[in-house]
Amino acid sequence: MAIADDQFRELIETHQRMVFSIALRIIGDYATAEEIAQDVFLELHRSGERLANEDHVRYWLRRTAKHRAIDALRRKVIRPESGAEEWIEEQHVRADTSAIGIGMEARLESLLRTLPESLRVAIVLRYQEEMLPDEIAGMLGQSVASVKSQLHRGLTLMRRKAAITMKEYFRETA
Amino acid sequence: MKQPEEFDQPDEMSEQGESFAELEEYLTQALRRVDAPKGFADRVMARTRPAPGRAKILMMPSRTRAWVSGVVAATLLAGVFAGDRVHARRERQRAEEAQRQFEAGMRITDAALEHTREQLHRAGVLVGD
Repeated sequence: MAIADDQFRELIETHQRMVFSIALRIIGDYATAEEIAQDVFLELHRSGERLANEDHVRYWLRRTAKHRAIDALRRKVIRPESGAEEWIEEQHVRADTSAIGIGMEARLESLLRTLPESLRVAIVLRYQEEMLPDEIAGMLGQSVASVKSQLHRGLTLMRRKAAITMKEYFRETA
Repeated sequence: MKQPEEFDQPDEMSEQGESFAELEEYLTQALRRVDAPKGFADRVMARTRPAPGRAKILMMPSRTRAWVSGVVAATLLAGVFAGDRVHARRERQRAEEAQRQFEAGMRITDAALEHTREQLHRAGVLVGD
C-alpha cells in the first residue's frame, strides 16, 4: 500500500531539514543536496509500505541520505564551486542566530569538506545528527571501534588544520 | 594520549581533551541542521505524480496492459508482414513487365531481320543460306 499524499507531505515537512542537511554537509553543494534530498524522499514514497514506525523512517532517511550523498560524491557530478557560494550566501541568512559567528561556521564547513569521505560522514552524523558512536556504527555497518577511530581522526585533522587556518579561534597543539 | 578505540566522549581525552572539547563545541554549533530550500515539499510531491501521458497506461490493470501490449505487437507484426507482401508483389510485377518488353523487342528484331533478308534475296544476294 502506498503512502497517502497528506501523510507523505507530513513526513517530508518533518524530516526535510535532516535529510537536506546530511546531503549538504557530505556533498558540499546546495543544488546537488536538494536533488539528493528529493530522490531520498521519492525512494521513501516508493518503499513506504515497508517502513513501520517513526524511528524506522528516521533511521531509513538518514542512511539513504548518506548513501545517496556518497554516491553523488563519487560520481563527481557536482557543479564547480557555484554551489558552495550559494551555500555561503544561505548561511548569511541565519547569521543572527549563530552563537559562534557566521565566519567561524563557514570556515568549519570548509574544513569539513576537506576531510576524506568516511571521516566526513562520521563527523556529520555525530555532530549534526548527534548520534552516538554505536548508533553510527549500526547505520554504517561498522564496528564501534572503527567509528570512534574515524571520529578521532576526523577531529584530529580538523584540529590541526584549524590551528593553522583559524589561529584566532584555536590554539595550536603540540 | 589515548588510542582511538578508547575515544568515547570528548571529556575523556587526556592530552588533547581540551582542544577537542572546544572543537566539538564549535562543530555542534556550526553543523546545526539547516532549512531545506523553499518549496522543497511541493517539488517532491510534484515528482510523485506520474506524467499525464503515461498515467493512463500505468493505471491500467496489469492483465489489460498485457493484452493491449499484445494487440499492439500483433498489429505491428501484421503491418510489417503485409508491407513485405506488397513489396514482393510489386517486384514480381516489375519482372514480368520487363520480360514482356524483352520478348516484344525480340519479335520486332526478328521481323526486321526477316524483312531485310527477303529484300536481299530478291536482289539476288544470298545471305546465310
